[in-house]
Amino acid sequence: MRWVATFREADAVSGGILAVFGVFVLFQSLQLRFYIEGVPGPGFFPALLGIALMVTGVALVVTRLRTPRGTAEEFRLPGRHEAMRSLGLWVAVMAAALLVGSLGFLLTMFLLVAVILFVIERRRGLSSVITAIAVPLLVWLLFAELLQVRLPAGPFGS
Amino acid sequence: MTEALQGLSGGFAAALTMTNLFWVIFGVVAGTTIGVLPGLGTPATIAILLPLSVNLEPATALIMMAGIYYGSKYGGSTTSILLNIPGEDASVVTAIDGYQMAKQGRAGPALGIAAIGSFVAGTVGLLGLTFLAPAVADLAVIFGPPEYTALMAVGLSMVVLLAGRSQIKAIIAGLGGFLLSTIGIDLFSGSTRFTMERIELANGVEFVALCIGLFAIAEVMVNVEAKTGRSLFQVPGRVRDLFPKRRDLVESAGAIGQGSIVGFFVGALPGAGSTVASFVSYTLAKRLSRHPEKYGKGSIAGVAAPEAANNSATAGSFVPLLTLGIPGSASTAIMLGALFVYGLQPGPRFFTENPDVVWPIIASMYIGNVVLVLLNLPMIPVFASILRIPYHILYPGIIVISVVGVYSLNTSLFDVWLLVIFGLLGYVMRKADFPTAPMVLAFVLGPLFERSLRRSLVISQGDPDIFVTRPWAVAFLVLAVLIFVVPALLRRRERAEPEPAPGEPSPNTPSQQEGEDADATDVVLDEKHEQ
Repeated sequence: MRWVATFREADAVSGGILAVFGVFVLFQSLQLRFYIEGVPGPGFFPALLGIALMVTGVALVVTRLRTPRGTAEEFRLPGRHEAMRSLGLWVAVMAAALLVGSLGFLLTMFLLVAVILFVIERRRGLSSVITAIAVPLLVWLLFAELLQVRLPAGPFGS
Repeated sequence: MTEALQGLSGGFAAALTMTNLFWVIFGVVAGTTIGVLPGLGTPATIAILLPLSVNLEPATALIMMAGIYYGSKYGGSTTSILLNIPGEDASVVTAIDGYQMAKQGRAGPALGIAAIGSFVAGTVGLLGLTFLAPAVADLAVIFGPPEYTALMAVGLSMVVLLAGRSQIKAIIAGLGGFLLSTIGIDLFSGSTRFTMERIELANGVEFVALCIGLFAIAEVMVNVEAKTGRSLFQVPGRVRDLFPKRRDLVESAGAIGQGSIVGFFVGALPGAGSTVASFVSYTLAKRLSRHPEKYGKGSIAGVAAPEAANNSATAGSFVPLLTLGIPGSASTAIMLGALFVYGLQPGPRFFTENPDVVWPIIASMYIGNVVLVLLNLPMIPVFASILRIPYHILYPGIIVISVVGVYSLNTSLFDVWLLVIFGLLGYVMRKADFPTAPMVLAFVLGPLFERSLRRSLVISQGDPDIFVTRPWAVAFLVLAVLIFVVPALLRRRERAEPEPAPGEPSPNTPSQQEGEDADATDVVLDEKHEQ
């Protein structure tokens, strides 16, 4: 079951969120000085950008809501299965980014590629095992050995 | 003119010695490698090799460093086109059309036109450096902060030219990019802005993490979601299909010519740099094209224009370095440092006082350009064959290389977290049909605009008249307003025209056929579809 609407509604929602974000930016930038001795201070541009975001966000809402219904293109949120793949991949990369400092580059990247191939792609053959080992190893050889980039070492020294 | 020719011939005699030739080739090969790999920056590479260069003659050391510098611009396009990973800052724009071409099975011609365009424009830029350096240096001196402010306003107004179906969304994306660029320590007042008390954000958001997140990670997420069972890329089997055809060259000729000239002048402005040059050239090429709707969907001129500009800008950036002693980028700043180490002081008299250093460097760049095109063209079939790898094996590789590339910039895990966050932002922007290119453009230009505006007002003690009393500044400001306003006026006029007869497509009817493709495309350039 997928949530289906048109870009008319989707843009109106985006515009609303952006306008609220603009208000937030404006309030945050008010903590910085707007002018220092007659010259724009650190808060000058952020405050203007906050106002501009508010205005354009509201403009997006208004222009879209003025568009007649049924003329805008269909907007689809990804279905559960699709979201599992794209957002699942994102979660896996995020987890790897959090773990790489403690587990080290090679082990973390092996786990990341293995999760992608075995869980997200559901490919459980020998080629997946080889890929999960070969990809991190090749990248490590290229960056750490050849180009002498210091990669996170982890408990096993690599 | 005669002086320049004499100097250049002497330079060639010096550059063609075995030692100098070796270091030219070493520099361009190292530069290409650095350019191909994301992350590892050109300034960092030059800095690492600085101790090595101390044992070399000044001209030889600079020949090697220059080789790395322009070699990296050549290499940067490869991963942009093949994998949507900008290998180098200035290759961000190349990814817009280059990657779409790769998806359409035209990676070879895209790589080919990038190499040819780079070679032609690099050579044009060098001719400019050889013969126009003193005149251009004078122009750069006239440009004070008010002129820069107005010029950057022109650049920022170009976000509307990078719009997809909606200009307002492009403006919002631009505002977002500008806002991101304000994060970090404000150099004028020393106060921190939006750093959330993270020391890592003191120097601002890492540009490469932003680009690779918005482009590469988001692209992989969209592709993975739309699992179709078919292969994502087609690679022609015949070698001759891997190279640009006569038609491609004709189509790109104007863009290469324009990019060569625009790139040189933008590059010659200290601080503007090749990333700005490539954006300016791309938007100009789109504006001047008879088929602007093809841009963003795999237009070969859309690859040629930014590639030409970024290579010509590299030659241009040597103008302020050598004639004024002003470095326009981190890489040229390190080269300036190297010149200081040798006790050399670049400036207005540098060409006449140190011809034995200047001319061999310039001559070596002509040689390096030839070496680069000879190296790159035969490599096209090899690079293109990367796309034959099944996507489920290719994309874990893209992710691992992106992570390592971003980490290697500052050996910072924080940058990797930024990469992941920007990946999600890019994915959401694609789903909500917000273009990402204006965000990147504003991120680059925003700080330059802010700095020069505040500097101008410091000079004028807060009086904004400074922007309307200087002719160049006024001219640029008028241009900026026109760029911003004209597309909106044109659209209003279009709307005012009578409704098309039944059966004809209405300008206000959204395209149905773009469907999934439009979602996967950053820059959908059909302005008629404004809803």
